[in-house]
Amino acid sequence: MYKGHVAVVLHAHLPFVRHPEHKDFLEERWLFEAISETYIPLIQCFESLIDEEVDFRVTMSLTPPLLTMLTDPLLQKRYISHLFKLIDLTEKEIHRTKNQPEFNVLAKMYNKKFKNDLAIFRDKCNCDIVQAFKRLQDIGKLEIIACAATHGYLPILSNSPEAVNAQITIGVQTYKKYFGVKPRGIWLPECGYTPIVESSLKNNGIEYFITESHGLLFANPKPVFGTFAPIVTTNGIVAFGRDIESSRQVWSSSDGYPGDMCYRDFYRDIGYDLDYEYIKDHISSDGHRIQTGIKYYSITGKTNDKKPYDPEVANKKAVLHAENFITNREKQILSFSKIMDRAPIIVCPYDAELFGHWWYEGPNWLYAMFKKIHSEQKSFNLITLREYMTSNPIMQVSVPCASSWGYNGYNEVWLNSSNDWIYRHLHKGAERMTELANENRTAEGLKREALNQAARELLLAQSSDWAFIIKTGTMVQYAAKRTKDHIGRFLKLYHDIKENNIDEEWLKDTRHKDNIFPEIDYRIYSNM
Amino acid sequence: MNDINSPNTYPLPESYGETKIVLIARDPHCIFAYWEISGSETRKFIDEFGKELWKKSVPALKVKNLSRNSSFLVFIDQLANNWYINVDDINCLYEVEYGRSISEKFFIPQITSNYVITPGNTVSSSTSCHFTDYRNFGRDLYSYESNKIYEMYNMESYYRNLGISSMEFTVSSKFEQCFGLSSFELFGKE
Repeated sequence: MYKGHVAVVLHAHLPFVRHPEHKDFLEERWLFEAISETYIPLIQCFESLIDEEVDFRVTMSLTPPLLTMLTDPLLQKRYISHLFKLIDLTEKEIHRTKNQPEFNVLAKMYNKKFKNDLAIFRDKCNCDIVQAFKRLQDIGKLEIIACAATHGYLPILSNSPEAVNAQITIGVQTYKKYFGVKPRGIWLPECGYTPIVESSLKNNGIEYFITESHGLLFANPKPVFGTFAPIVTTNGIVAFGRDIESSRQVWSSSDGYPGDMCYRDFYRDIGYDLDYEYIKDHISSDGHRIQTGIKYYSITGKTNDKKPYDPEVANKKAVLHAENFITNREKQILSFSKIMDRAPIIVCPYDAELFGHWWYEGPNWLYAMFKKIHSEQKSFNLITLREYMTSNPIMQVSVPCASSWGYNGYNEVWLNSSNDWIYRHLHKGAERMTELANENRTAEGLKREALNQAARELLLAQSSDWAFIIKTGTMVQYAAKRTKDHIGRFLKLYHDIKENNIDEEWLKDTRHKDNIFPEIDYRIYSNM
Repeated sequence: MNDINSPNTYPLPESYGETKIVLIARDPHCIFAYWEISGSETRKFIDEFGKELWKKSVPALKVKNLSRNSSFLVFIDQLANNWYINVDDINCLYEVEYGRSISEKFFIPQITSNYVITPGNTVSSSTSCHFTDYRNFGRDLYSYESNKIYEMYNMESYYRNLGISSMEFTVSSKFEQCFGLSSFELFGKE
């Protein structure tokens, strides 16, 4: 009998970036890098554990834009081309570094890795890695949860109940399409919670969600067990709170594991380091230097004089960090199990892309941690959130505090002087989409297509990623352009539909570009 | 950067030709307001109160805390179409009127906003404690004597030992800035 439980929650998300109008598009690399560095390593980690008969549990969200991109034939084809280019580059690198053994061994490591990615992606998964995650859910190791349609930041969209409802309903519909069952839980984008979202969660059959720590700690009435047990809201929906200590151990810049000096340095990349003539065919087609994914140095310290990366040393450190993580969770559980009338749960949510992309050794850390918990741990086990609810159904009734996991804990990241211009257009767009849906209850043919495309454009404009990128000051132009383009396309469609003057060619072209949610029904926005 | 300067970029409308003020509660002590005042609304004001009053007055926001029945004025720039309003009270219902003012005591409202509630930033003082089976929500409710259960399961000492007071819980999120609170900080360093 375990004294408590640990729930690892991975949130996998990328915004919808697909540009068929260009032969080569820089931002599509976000997906390719995430497939190679995070999604394939995670699948390999989970499958190795299964082969070794290690019992483990992970709760994981795969957002609708990510699911759509991962199953898109154009992007799948482009990912394979991307891999071929990387294999070509690593072969050049093996030759170039033949007299530098410390780098040559790494060039060979990357060559092997990219060839392995190709074998897994193209040959083993038949280009569809979503199926690999689905299989892991089907055998009970993963519990995949839903997310809002385009990762819209719900607290700021909540001026329009129709906009929130469309985000959640289409998110749930997309989940059912890919996984064949209804989702039990949802990842609220950016952990953005406001009580207003609950009615839509309830109407869509969602049973639980995750909030930032203070979403639970400041709930009303005061939760007896802090974040160590979920609460049930007055709408009957269960809310789990993020554990503070385990977050800090992974996220903190000063104390967090990923900042260890022996881990691979994210920023030093041959795309920046090598001679331009040599590397030019492997960087941006417009000549800008970018990351290639081939990195030869360890973090070393706050210095530009980096030491060569040693994977063996780094992976040994990942095992030590896994042991440290387990020890600290065990301490928490032993301490709280004494004073609680139920087994405490420690909820540890992270961005999935942290593992492998930023923290290269992250998947190995997960693998080592899961293996050690299975073989050595007597005090606690791994659990999914749904499993915990089933074994501990009696919960305190309380209303979480409006919150997010962004800086300062509320809406500031997505609403500040850099990005506040977005919201008057998003709110107006939602109002106009509802107006269109109410006025066109039974549209058919071209008008129906235009109405559905208007809904797609509005949803794409609502992605929280654009406001976030604008705030962080990197790739700002792209994010601002995406926001303006989707709002602009929506407004053109609005006027064309109102004037009964739909531009068929333009609509066809726009639908070809923004082809997310092919089964969308614009009537989701109707409030009549 | 591909396509950034593409001529296909759509210009956003400067206005939607309406009169409207919208509030968003940004955090416990800040409300964001944006508005649009149509030309006809301005004409309506002049017709009703005269051009002299229009010239003498300045735009202002009357911020009303409906939970505490209090209000204050914020004088705003003539050309502003949004404002960040600092407020004192958490967990309170707010409404804002946009209008014209000559002094602190003389305000003519033109439009009224939606309501917003400022979020909390402290541990709730309510210790009314009920438990239920979430699967049969509302059917069986187990009540506990207030305070007793909180004394029995004293979790607050744990959070104190972590070195954080309730006011600082939210600051835990700042750590995410270092490693990218969403995937984008990770991808965005190029």
